Amino acid sequence: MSFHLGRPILAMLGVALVGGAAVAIRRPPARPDLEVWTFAQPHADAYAPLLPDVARQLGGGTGHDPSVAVRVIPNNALNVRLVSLLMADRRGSDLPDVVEVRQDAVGRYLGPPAGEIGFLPLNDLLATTGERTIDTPAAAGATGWAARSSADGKVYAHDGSAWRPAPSRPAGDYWIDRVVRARFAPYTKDGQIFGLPHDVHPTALAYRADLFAKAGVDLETPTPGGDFVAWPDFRDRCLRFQAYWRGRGVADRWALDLFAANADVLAALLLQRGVNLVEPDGRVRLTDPATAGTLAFYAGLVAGPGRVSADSVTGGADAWRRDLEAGVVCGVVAPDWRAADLRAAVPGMAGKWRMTRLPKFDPADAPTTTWGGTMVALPRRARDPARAWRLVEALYLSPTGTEAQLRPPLGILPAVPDAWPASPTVAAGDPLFGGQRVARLYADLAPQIPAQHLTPDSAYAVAALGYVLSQAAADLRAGGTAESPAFRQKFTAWLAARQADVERQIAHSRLTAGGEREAGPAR
Amino acid sequence: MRSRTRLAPYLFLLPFLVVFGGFFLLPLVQSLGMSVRAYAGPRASRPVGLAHYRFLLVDPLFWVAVLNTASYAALFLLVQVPLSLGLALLLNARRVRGRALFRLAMLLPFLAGNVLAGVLFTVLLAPGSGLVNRAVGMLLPAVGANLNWRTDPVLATVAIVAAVAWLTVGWGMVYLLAALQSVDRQLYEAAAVDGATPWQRFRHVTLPGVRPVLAYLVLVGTIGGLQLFELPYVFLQGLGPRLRGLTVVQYLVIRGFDRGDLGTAAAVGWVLVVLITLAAIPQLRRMRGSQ
Repeated sequence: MSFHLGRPILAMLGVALVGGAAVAIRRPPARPDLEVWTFAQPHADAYAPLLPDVARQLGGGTGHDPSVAVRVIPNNALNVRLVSLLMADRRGSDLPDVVEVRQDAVGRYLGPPAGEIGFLPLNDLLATTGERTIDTPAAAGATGWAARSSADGKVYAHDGSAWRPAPSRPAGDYWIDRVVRARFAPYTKDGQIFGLPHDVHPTALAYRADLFAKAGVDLETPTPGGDFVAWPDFRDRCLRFQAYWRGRGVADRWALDLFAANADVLAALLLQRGVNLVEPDGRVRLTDPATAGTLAFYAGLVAGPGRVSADSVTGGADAWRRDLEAGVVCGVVAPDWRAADLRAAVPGMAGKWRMTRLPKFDPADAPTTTWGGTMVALPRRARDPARAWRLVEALYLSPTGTEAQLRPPLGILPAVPDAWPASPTVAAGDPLFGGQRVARLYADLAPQIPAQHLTPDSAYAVAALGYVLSQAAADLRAGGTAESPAFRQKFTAWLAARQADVERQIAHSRLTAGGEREAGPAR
Repeated sequence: MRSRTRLAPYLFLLPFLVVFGGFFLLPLVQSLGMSVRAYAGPRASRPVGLAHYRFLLVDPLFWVAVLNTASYAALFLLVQVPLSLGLALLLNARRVRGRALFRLAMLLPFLAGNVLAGVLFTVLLAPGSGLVNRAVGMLLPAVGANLNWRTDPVLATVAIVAAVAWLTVGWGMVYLLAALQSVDRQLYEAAAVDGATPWQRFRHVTLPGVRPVLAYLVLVGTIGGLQLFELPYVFLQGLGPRLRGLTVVQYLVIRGFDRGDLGTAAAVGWVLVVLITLAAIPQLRRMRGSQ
């Protein structure tokens, strides 16, 4: 056989034809009736065992249980895909029925006017579903809670000690009252709630109790004159701890592990002080005195003569684990997800760690902060939002769902306080922390988290803060001191420049926010 | 019959024209239209004239991206072209055996792609455990093995340039080796007879012989450098220390996908087209001149 263009071209044509035919006749994999997209494999692993029961529950005994699947898509891919689908105005089975969005990506979805946001507002669903029920007046509860009794159908309210009949309350609490209220704030725009909080992520401080005890340094006793440990006092204790070990030849031992190249932890500490870098009304708070003061102090923790931080975590998970095992890193700012990371990284260090509350700068600061999070959302134009909401209730809000989330290895406190007192995980001691009831500590802190607000410009403001942080840290490494007026003057100017940048971004964003409706999707 | 003959070339061209028109020309025109509109969600937009372009002119972040991108492109060329030429000269030496094997080995990284290079260099440069850091720790104990290549602006730049060089040096070397092998041997012999030193032979015979290929490598390298995105994105996992990971394409992605600001993203795309054209035109002229 001869082919006038030659055998290689013939072979390529053959491959193209066979490949094309294979693609053309290949049947796309069947979509499940309900599909959840998540960016986190541990989330999928925690929920996988629940799916058969959830499907049965959604089937309602009709014998036609819907197929339910949780699909893991890497975070960046998930957001690029979802933004593309929403901007192209796709609908139906092109969209996931439920999607988990990591909090640092939420702002990008909240840019358009509320009516144009791609997610379904949940206000009505939250206000009309999930009425709390109790079996007996002896059921666990908290002050102010209302519930309908499954025994007599009446409404009861909890007065702090027991449930009492409350004829003045028309109904038991619905989901809107049963979820930690402050956690709706990041996912709310113009009063409309676009996502259910998957978590609370109260934040505490994990530290190597054994090494601090050997050094004779106590991190938990309040600073004299107050009922909390003040940051400057805390730093002095950390420096004493490091000096003790340096005196015994251990030079590479650090009290903390704070980020020096990004502002994630710094932004969480600012939130503890009530500072959202971009407030919902568009105010930018980079030049706020609280921001400047906290940044100056924090920069001194990560660089310069008062440094108490190793910055191991930016070296990757392996470097972090190695430094934890070697005692290079002896303290970690730890929301519940990071405590889970710690358990996974150093399971052999049982009993050597302890958890305590975060220090504070000021008595008015919250006793905790929140760092990270996941929003559970329903795309507005998905196949059947009502059924998707029932899936959300079964998977994220039901007692089995919240307990699956609480249990290690996920170990994340759900945003439903009803789940906390009833949970065996919350009641149990944590082996890594010497039997300390760490989940209980998180549950105590959770109602006190500060309200966090996210806008499309929040991530940019955090990046701008990180830029100034790295400038400040470089200055301190070069011999500057955090307390000197020259240093303050410099970084005040840096903050002012970045504030102007963020304000310019916001002003430009208003162009889009004022968009008028026109026919047809963006192409 | 004659009209069918006249139609034939156009019929052959039709598949290309359909693909070119549908997947290149049409999106290009649409993106130009998008760059003068503001989008708020999928069904809301309005004309804003040149507002996005004006914003880019005054946005310092955009200029940081332009500066980063231009400096990376310049550094890549400064590293890649001499290294490629050096390797090509070594492989072109008569006493080298297994030339095909070396050529393949050096070309292999180019097949790996930017993302794999980003991942690979993340492992190689990991503080404490990375091979490079271990070597630094052994050879320079005072520096230690804990260099953090992803948080120090200078080290991050060095790492990105090294990763791109690792990817592209072999590719450039293959082109230059082919060019070297096509230089007329008689020119070298004549130069030797005239008493030319090795440097003079390189300067007056080799370089003019490979100049068109060098010009091509500079052109392609410049365009590739200006489009840099995946490698710093993977390696720095974000904007990097002091925004060293922010390139023009990264800026475009941030505007388009992180902020849903498709209008400004489209404008950035067009500015990039202009930048690449401005960088390419003088080089194309020079190439034409050298030919």
